[in-house]
Amino acid sequence: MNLFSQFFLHTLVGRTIVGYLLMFVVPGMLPALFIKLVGVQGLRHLFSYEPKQSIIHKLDPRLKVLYPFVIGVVSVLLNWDFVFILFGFTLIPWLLMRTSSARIRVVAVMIITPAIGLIWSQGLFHIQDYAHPQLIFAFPETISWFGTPGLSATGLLYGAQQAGRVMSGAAASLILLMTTRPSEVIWAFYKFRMPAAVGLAFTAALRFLPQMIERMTVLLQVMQVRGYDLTIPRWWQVYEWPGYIARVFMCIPIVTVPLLISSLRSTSVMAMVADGRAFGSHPEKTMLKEHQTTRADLIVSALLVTLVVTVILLISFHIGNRQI
Amino acid sequence: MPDVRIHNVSFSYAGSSQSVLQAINLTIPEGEFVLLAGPSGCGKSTLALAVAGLIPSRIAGHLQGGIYFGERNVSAMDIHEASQHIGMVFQSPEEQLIHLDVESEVAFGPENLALPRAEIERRVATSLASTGIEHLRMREIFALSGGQKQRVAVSATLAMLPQVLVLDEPTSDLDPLGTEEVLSVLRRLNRQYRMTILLIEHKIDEIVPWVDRVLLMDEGKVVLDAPPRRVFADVQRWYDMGVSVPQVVQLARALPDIFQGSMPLSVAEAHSAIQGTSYAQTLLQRNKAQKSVETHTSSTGTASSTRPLLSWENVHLSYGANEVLKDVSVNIASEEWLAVIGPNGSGKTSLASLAIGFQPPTHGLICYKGKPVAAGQVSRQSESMAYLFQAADNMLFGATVEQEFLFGVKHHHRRQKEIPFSLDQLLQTVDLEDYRHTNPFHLSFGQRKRLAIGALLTRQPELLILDEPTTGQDEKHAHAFLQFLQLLRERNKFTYIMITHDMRAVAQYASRVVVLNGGHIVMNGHPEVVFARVDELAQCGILPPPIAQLHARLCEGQAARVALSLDAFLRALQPAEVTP
Repeated sequence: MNLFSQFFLHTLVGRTIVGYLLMFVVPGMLPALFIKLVGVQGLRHLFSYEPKQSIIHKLDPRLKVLYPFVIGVVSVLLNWDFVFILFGFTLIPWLLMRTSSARIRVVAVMIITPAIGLIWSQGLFHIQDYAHPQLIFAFPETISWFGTPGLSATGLLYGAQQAGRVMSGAAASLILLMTTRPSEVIWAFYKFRMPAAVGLAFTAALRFLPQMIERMTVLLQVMQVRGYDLTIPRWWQVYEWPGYIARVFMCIPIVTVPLLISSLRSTSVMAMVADGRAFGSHPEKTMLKEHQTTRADLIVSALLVTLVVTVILLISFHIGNRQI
Repeated sequence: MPDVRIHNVSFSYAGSSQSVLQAINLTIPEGEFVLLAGPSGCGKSTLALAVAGLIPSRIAGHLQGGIYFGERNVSAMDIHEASQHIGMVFQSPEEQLIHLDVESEVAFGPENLALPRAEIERRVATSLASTGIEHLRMREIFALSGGQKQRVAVSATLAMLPQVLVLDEPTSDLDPLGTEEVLSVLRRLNRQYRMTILLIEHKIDEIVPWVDRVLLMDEGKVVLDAPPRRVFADVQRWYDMGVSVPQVVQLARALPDIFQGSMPLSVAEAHSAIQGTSYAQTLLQRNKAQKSVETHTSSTGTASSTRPLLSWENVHLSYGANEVLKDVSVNIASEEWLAVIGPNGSGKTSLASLAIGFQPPTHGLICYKGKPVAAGQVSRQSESMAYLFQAADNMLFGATVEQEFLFGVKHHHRRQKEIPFSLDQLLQTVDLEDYRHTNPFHLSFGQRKRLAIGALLTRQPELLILDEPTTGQDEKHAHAFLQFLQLLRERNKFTYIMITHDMRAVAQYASRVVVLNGGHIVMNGHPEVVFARVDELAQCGILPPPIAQLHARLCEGQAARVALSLDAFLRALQPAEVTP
């Protein structure tokens, strides 16, 4: 063991190996994790409404529109201990909405992947004091070209704090997307006196995103049929991975143009249909379904108010304030 | 209810000097069901957009003349006002549905009009009832079939209370069952509610029995305007323009002694005219003789006893609880043209996607030349089989025709040394020699399809999977493309798997047909044999070509084989020659 640690921590070759691993394992692992656990098809589920009969689905849409906004603001004000408590708070609706395991897997990957990326990048690049960096691992001069002296503890902590904010915001926003029908979102926007076009844009995005992903899947299939190799190498084919990742990035501009053209064509038809359905023709509109306030709405409103008041009190007593 | 009057209408798109519509004059009286037919690019869709008031307010161009609903000029109205008189339904249900659930979609228009809630409720209920989809009111749109989605689109249009409905190829993305659903709704709206309907369609066989009037357009003009029984008097004109002529109309012209100048429009009419004649007797006798000598054709027969080129062995495919393919076993021999037919969602595309390796089966094995197909290794698989997607435009990425051919070579990471054909050979094969440096999107639809095939040939495949190769094309272009495929197959000894809803194409070109329903193979045999089982096919939502249906009906449902073309049917009506 001593020999092992001696080699990796105290020799130039060993430290270089560890340095390269620290730098490239995370950015290499995250896309692989995403492709393996979510994939392009999984994105379709991420941004689409999932019909269920849960208490969260039945809540006042206005509350669900407000919820990510409140969580976003509160998370910015709190320090990282409290941000993670807040993140725990945002998980409660997920437990109540009884979502499918497939959705949970996709949502979990989409929330955790950027968080890991954030912690990693801040750990390497958030150095508060370059004169006295508190490094967990100092990079040898062989990889000084990377522009960071090493992995810092303060950076990791700062990254974790940022990750808490990102995860809280993402968990709250996805609740809105997955439990609210577009018509309810339009109704909520209308009640908040927001422009009708904002509600329609939101609906159109939700409606067309799965189609865009479907089209992208077809385009990727077409490229492969035309000879473009997107075969995923096995994990042990290390020499194949750089080429594979390069090909994935190279195919982005190739599929973007046809994707944009077909999307523009679709939206042009949709715009004509919306005009034909008198969208924006009257300053006022009547909604077929008007949400009736329930006890659950009152309880959730009270909880949100309590949360905001608690945070204000904490901050006024200088507890949990954001330090950085 | 006022008439629709098209007065001296000409139109050219912005940036183009060419008139797409040329001095069109028409009056469509209240309650008339009008079919608007014509070759691709003749101006049908442009006329529909103009009638619906979307030209020139939403589509830029120069419009002359006027379109009137009663005394009011539709072209001068706001869109939301025009849509309360004349509603428009587009081709793709996916592109014209805004919401995620049926109720919200149908209520969207009345809500925007700020009508009282009770009135919105009444309109939603009435619109859903008139299209027969009240039971779908609370459903999510993504869970509906294509036919159901298009009925939702019609309902949402009806909720604006238009008196005229304009539909631009509303069934072109639908399977026969979905087509029938939509057409029956249109018949009902016209007959029961006296709604005026202007319908653009290529599926003339199915529609012509129900319409009051047929308009034939060519090069921006209405060249024929007559009731359906008179519109085919000059049938040569239809042939010249490459527009489909109903098979029963062709039959009536071939048997003047039976039809005596009358013009049948449906299989039922043709059947009642021929039934009881000597022709029908001959057909019955032939059928009896044929049945007695013919050995029974297995409904699960395989291609041949030789080693198959491609085989699916006990293949299952499921997504969670949804079973898409259930214990499918089928072989395809070299140089076969196999048609795969069935309703939407029956597993046709999944069957093909497993073959090329887009995904692995849940159970079972797919073998190409005896070796298992490796899922995920599509580019490697594309060296032996090609896949022509339904939307061939999605297959083109290059700036010129030449660059399209070089795409595979340029992007193959194992650096394919050279393409098996020279560029000149490829250009010649797909008949695009004069377009080597042309942008693919400046080519016609048929040329782009041929270019997509040419691009696939650079991989030197032996087997081509053709996904709906004729969708969206008129008779002339569809026929030309299928002829091209046939020629290519004969020249290069290709094997084809064709996924299609086009039964005429199956009848004319396929050497074998596999019928899928609910993930099972329910029939597998020669089209002559499969199309004889009209009742069983109907249960799968498949209608054989009219001539095959007629043959089967005249044989009282006992036909062992049916004719697949008019010529074959006419031969079958002649007494068999007695051999000495």
